[in-house]
Amino acid sequence: MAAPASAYKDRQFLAVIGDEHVTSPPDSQKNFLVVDSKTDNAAIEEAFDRFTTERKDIGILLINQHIAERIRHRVDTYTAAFPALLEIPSKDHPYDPEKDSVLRRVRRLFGE
Amino acid sequence: MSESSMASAISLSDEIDGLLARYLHLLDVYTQLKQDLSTLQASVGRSQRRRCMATSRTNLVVQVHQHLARANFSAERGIRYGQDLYDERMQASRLCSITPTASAVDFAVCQPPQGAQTEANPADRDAPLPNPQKDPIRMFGILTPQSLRVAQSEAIKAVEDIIPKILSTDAEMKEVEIKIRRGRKHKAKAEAAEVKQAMEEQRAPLMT
Repeated sequence: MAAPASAYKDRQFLAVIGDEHVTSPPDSQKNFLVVDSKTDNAAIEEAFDRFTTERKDIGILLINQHIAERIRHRVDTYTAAFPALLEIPSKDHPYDPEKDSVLRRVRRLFGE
Repeated sequence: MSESSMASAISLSDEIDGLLARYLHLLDVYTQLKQDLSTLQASVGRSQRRRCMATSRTNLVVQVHQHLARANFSAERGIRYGQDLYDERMQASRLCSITPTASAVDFAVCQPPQGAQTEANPADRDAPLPNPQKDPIRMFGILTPQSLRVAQSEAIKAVEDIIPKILSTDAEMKEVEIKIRRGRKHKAKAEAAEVKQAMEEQRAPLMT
C-alpha cells in the first residue's frame, strides 16, 4: 500500500450524510448531516468537504445513494483513499447498481 | 519478433490475465456483500421476511426501517424516534480502524475500548462522566420497544460486519485496477517497440 501511515492512523470516526434514519450520533464536532427535502445542495457539499478534506479524524464516510446523486460531480471526482466513501441505499431509494460508483469504475476499466 | 520480446509479451499478458482474474473475484465478493447489505435485514422474522420478499429484496435498510416504523407506530402519542430525541452529549459508540495489508488496507469497525470514549467533548470533561459503555438507545428512554432494539442490532450488524468488508474489498479493487492499467501500458509500450523494431529490420536490407 502506497499511502503512508500518517494518512490513516488518526482516522477513527465514521461520518454520515443521510436521511434521519441512518445518521449516527455526534461527537464533539458533529460527524453527521441530516438531509431532508429542505436541505439545499450547497449544505450537502459543504458537509462533504468538511468530512473529506477538513477533518482528519474521519475514516469512513457513509452517504445515502440518493443524496450522493445530488452532489454526483463531487462524489465522482473524489479519489482520495481516506476517508473511504461508501454509498448506501435508503428507505425510499433502493440500491441501484447503475449508480454504484464502484461498478461504474469497473465498466470504465473494461472499456465500456 | 525476437524470442526475448515475445517471451516478455507473453509474461505481461499472463500477468494481466492473473490480475483480471483476481479483479473479477473481488468484484464477485463486492457484489455479494452489497447484496448481503441489501438483504441483511431480511433475516429478522418470518412475517417481516415474507413482507420483505413481497415488496423489495434489494433495500439496505428495509427491515431496519420497518422495525423503526413499528416502534414509532407503537410509541406514545407525540413521541417519534428520530433526531428530536438525540442526546447532544452522545459520543461515538463505534470507531473504525484502518490497518495496512499486503494487498491494500483493511477496515474494521468496533466498539472503543473501555475509557477511550471520553475524549469527545472537552467542555464535558469536568462534568461527571456517564458509564462509558452507555447504550445509545437509552437516549430514547429506558423502556424502549423491542422493535427499536431489533432495528438497532440490525444497524450494528451492517456497520460492524458488512460495511468494513465492502470498504476493504473496494480498496483492494482500486489497487488491482492500478496494476492492471500499469500492466496494459507496459504491454502496449512493448508491442509498439516490437512494431518499430520490425519496421526497422524490414527497412535495413533496402538501405544496403
